[in-house]
Amino acid sequence: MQNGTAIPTSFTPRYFTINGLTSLPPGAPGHGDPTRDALADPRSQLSGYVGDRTLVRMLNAGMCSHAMHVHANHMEWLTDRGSVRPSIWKKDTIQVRNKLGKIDAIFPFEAPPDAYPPVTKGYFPMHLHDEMSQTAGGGLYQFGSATEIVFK
Amino acid sequence: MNNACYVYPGAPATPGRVTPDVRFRRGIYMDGSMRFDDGNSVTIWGFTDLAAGQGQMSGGSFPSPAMRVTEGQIVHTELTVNAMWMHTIHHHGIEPSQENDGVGHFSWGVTDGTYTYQWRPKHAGTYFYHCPTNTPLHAEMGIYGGLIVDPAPNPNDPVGTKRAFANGPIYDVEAIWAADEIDPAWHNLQWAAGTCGGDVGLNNLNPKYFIITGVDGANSALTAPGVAVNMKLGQTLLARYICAGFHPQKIDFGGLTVSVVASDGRPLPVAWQTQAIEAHSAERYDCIIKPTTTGTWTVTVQFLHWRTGAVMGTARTRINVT
Repeated sequence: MQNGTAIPTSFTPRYFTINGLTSLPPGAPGHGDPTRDALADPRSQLSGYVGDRTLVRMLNAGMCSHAMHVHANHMEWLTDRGSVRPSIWKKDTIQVRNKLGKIDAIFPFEAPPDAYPPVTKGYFPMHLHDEMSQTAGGGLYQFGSATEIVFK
Repeated sequence: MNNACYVYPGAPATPGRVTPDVRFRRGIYMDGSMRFDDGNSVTIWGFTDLAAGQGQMSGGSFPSPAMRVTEGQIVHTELTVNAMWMHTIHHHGIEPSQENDGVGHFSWGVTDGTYTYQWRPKHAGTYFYHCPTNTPLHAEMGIYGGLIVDPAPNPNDPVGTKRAFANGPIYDVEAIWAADEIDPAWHNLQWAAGTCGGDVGLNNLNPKYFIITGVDGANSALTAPGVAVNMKLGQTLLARYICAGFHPQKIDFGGLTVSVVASDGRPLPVAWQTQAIEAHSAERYDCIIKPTTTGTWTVTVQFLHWRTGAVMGTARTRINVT
């Protein structure tokens, strides 16, 4: 699809992926299989120790705009559609637009700031907050475009 | 639980539980309704405030009662759910431990009991809380409320001074605008609809109504108390804008230039002067507004289709300066 191509009005998406896979929640066949489950796919999953600042490049290869949402930390928003932003905002949700939108951000792997007692380990989701994207075939919440953030 | 799949029931003890500084007690209602300006209505779900005398299964407001805390306080959010339902609380933008994050498949969904979410907010700003069980449906049904974290009082400020964040701008008047869209076709489903498979349409949100903080944005929000702003010339307004829907939005301040001082609960390094903001689901923007003349300004939120970008509808409110 070329940038600027008109989007057909008849298109209604029914499946939503990240790097070609959907998330498969606990209890689902394939859960935890890195070749089938986007939660466990090392191409998608963010995994690190506290201090492992991680650059995340997010590309919109689909037809809908999405809201990229991380738990556990705010992201440092660096670029939008190929341009360096004038100042770095800390965001828990960033829009990646359709028509080949793209953003770069740092996930800082800081200890989750609002935990009490403090923690340095845990499992958290990264998902799209336009929640239609968290479904498959019109239902099956948790079988959509999401991955996992692992504080080792 | 016969009609629910991929749910993770539980209501265990809170790890490391201590005596809190602030405590909220929430139940669930699933029998609410919202009436629109055209006379139609839809079923609404939400959290009740048990401490305020609302019922454990009925009688809540929409949006759910806002939470307000001060940074550094230890907070308990107690959620009580009966055995027929399952719900959780995610404090969006608050970043607690895994057990207190409220995401079912990473912890548990509350049913037949009470779970106490323990957290201590570090950063002042605008947040919201919602239910991440079968999230597309539960958020669309209205199970959300505002969550405001105030900065710790500055000892050099006069008593009663209100700041957006520590050493941030001072404001006199506050508005919380949670802009959301409603598709009536989604409002007749049971809480676990679609979780076992089958097409219940949760991929396709075609809204017919557009609201601001629980009030129809067709006409009512233009004058509704608590949504429309009435302020005096010389006062400063802090408008907390929450993109509470699923489709992208554009908020236009009717010709006023606003100073965006924070987003998603974090101050911006440099305030952003603008007359409009494009946002997507769950983003928040804190806007300082200081009108220089008396008058009335109409604030308009456009709801943009996530695929085509077409304007599906608008919601409007007003800022009146006298």
